[in-house]
Amino acid sequence: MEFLTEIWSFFTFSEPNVKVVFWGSLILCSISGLVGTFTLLRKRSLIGDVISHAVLPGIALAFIIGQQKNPLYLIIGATITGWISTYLVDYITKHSKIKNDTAIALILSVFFGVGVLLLTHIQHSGNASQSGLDQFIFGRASAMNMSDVWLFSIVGTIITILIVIFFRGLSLLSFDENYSQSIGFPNELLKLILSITTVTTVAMGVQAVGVVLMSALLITPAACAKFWTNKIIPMAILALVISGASGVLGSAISYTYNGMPTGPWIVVVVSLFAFISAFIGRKNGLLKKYLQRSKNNTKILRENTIKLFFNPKTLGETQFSFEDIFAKSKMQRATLKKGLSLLKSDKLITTNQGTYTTTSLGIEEAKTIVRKHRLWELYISKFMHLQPDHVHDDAEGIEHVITPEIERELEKELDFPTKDPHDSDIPY
Amino acid sequence: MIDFWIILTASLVATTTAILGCFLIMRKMAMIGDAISHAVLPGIVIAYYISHSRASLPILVGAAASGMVVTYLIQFFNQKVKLQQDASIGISYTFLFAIGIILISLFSGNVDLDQDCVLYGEIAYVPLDHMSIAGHYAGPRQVWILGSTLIIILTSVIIAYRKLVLTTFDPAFASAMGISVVLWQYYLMAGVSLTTVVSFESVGAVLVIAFLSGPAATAFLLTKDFKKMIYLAVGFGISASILGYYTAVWLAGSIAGAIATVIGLQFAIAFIYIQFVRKAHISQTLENKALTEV
Amino acid sequence: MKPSVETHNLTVIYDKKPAIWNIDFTLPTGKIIGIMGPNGSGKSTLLKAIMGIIEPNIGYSKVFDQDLEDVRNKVSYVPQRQSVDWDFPASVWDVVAMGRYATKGLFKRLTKEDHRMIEESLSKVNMTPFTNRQISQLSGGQQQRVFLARALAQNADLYLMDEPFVGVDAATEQAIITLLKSMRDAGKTLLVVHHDLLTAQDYFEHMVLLNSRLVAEGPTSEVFTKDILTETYGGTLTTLSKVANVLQEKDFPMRHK
Repeated sequence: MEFLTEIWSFFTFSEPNVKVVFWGSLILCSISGLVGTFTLLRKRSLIGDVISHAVLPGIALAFIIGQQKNPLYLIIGATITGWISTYLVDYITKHSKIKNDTAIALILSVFFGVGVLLLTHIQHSGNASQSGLDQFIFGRASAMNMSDVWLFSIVGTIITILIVIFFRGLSLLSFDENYSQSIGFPNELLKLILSITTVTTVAMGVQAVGVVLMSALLITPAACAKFWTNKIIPMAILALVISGASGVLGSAISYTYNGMPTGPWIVVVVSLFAFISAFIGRKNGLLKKYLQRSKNNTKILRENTIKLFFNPKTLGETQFSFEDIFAKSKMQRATLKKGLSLLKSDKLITTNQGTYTTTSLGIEEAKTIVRKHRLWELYISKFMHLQPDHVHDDAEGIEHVITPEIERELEKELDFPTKDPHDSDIPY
Repeated sequence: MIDFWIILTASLVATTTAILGCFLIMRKMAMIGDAISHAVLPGIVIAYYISHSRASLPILVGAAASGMVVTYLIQFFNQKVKLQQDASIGISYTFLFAIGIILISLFSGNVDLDQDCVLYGEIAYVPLDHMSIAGHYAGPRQVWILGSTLIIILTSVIIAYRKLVLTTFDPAFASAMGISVVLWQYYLMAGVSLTTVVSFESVGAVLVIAFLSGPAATAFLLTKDFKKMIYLAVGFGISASILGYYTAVWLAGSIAGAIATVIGLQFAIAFIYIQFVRKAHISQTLENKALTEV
Repeated sequence: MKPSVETHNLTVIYDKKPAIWNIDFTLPTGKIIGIMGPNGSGKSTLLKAIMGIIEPNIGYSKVFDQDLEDVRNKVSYVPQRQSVDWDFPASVWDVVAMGRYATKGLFKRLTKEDHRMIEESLSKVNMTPFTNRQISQLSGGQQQRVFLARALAQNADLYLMDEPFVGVDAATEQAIITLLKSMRDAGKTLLVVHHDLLTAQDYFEHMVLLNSRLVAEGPTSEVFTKDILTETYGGTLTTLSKVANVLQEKDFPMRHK
């Protein structure tokens, strides 16, 4: 309960500093989500990781040179080393036999190590305002002040405007770099814009989330958006909204529990969004997959059961007791019972004192399934040059997949055949 | 004396990681070490909390459990819901690492870990935590643990050397020969996990990556023979440990950070050498060859 | 006569879409057999399924009438050149020596006989002057010859080769096909995935024509006809593709158990 009142007090801005934290995290995280969309689409999440770790020495150096914790200097320092790191990764990969992932691991950890060395050096030299630099490792949104937020807003707006202006080029570049090149788009300029915006976003964002977890803020919101849409504009907007919301929620939680760094909470929140989306999302979501599978299984069971009622001689009505139809089938008892009740509710059979009789609808359905089975057997024996004894198993599976359209095509391609490879009639 | 123990600890980490790192970088698995070292954190923290001690076995179990969770998560995202691989890895290990940091905060009274130090270790404190055998001073606990790890890794690499090399160089051919490529992949991941976990206290999560990738990359630049590459990598790792230690003392900063910096410098020097000095030599050699070849 | 390779209903499915469907054939021994088909027709997949590198989803294959596991020492696999990182720090000799690991296992040292076989293999492909050269310094044709030497060093009876003539200069191609023919004369069986229709008739006495499904298999004179080639290269079976698409979209199981 106390937790809820604390959270509530956060959102009602009951303390002046809260406004700063709220807006600061909202802006920083939203921008990360937006920029991260392109990082994800270009499959460069690792580069995001490098930049995030590489800003640390820049921050430390800016402090050593400027002798104060001026946000502008720190961001500039961070941007410079962040920038150098991406340049070095690409340079090393291009000009030596070192592979891309090795270059990434190397630059990431070495730059971070240099940053740690400088940070610890600063701490031990007893400089008074240095204690604030620790926050960059895991983020402390509560350490922001109003002028920070103004800076974020201005830079954030510039970044957003750049992205909006160049949106078409950036999208094409992310999708198909070679094609973009071939139609004369200024790829180098576009890549430069992306690099600069990514590095700057990271340089600012580490204040909220910290160096170590910043890469998550680039990737996870966009990945989360991917479970809802395939189109790039909604994806970018959704990523922006999700990361902004995670930023605010994460800051709220860490504000409530004093002493907790913000970064981990923001990452936990945005990751939970991603997990939930993976389940209920409309694109590739797990729930959707299970529902489809269940639908498939029902269809398969229905068709396999009605198949048992097929009468090869009269092509008409048939009647069976449960034991008779069970003897004919290869199913378990429970499965058959389930199948029969499906057929009953679909009005394909009627029951009367323990016997099951096909309706006219049921007769048609049985004929259709057997027809599809035999057409497919004929098709694969003809076009895949398979022996007749090999085709039955295949058709057992594929008969359920054949849509009416495919069925018509089969009939046409096989020239409306009357017999299948086992020389049985094909029922029309 | 303390100097010696610290340098020894760092050298033990450096040697183990240099050997594993040579295989990792040839397999393009350098970043897996990054993911693993981050992902094991919550397991380690919970193990510390439950066992109230720094004993190794619970830590290893905790790390293994954490490792299995992250592997499952990555598979879930990559295979079940078809998310691209780099994102699947990124989401999974950052999530676990974030949980680990939160747990450290929550347990802060009861767990002897510090947020920053999981990143870069506290190797300076290693000599203080020593073991006694039959009442005699037997050296720091970490040295024993790291030493044992090195022996395990070294022995298994020597025994399985051919299989490791073959599956690294040409997995299709190895598989065609009946060697299980998957098995040796898991072996390397287990080796990296083990090494990462035991190096946590001394070197921390991020800097173990410098150890895994740096010396091996530097050696790769300089040699054409895989065995020599391993020896060179170990050499670079140990020398970086020594130089790094004294640099840290001079700058009053993190020892692990200093060692990582030296590793970076080693690579930079080797890279520059290759670019400018070797290239000039090679073009001269090619010129000479062209005159003699048919 | 024992067949070299047999497949029954061999089906490999990638991401719910069949890469090869229901492949059924029996191949003779002592011949150079070409596997051909358009891009994406599953030729590499077929080789990998036979070698056990990929598990088939349905069906199985046999080598010399036995499971591959029992006759591995008689089979040699030459993968595509780009499957390997040629920057790996190894010499030509090191790579060819790998061919002897099959019989040596983890520990046994290479004997004089092994050394002799390695040298002989190198000489058969004319790579002896390059014995100590680092593999990153080799041309495409030289790399292919190193792969071939490694396969020769295995001293197998059946050789499966994936696109050995890609990116190889004309002289090397000539040298390779001459070597393959002499291997065939010595009783070996060679299964070669190839892409070039122009040379196929000269190189192969027996062919397998693939387009995700088996189009034809038999002596070259019988299957290298206009009709069969049109069926192989004239595009995929549209109905088959449609069924494959429905399988994938609706996530249907391939075989109903």
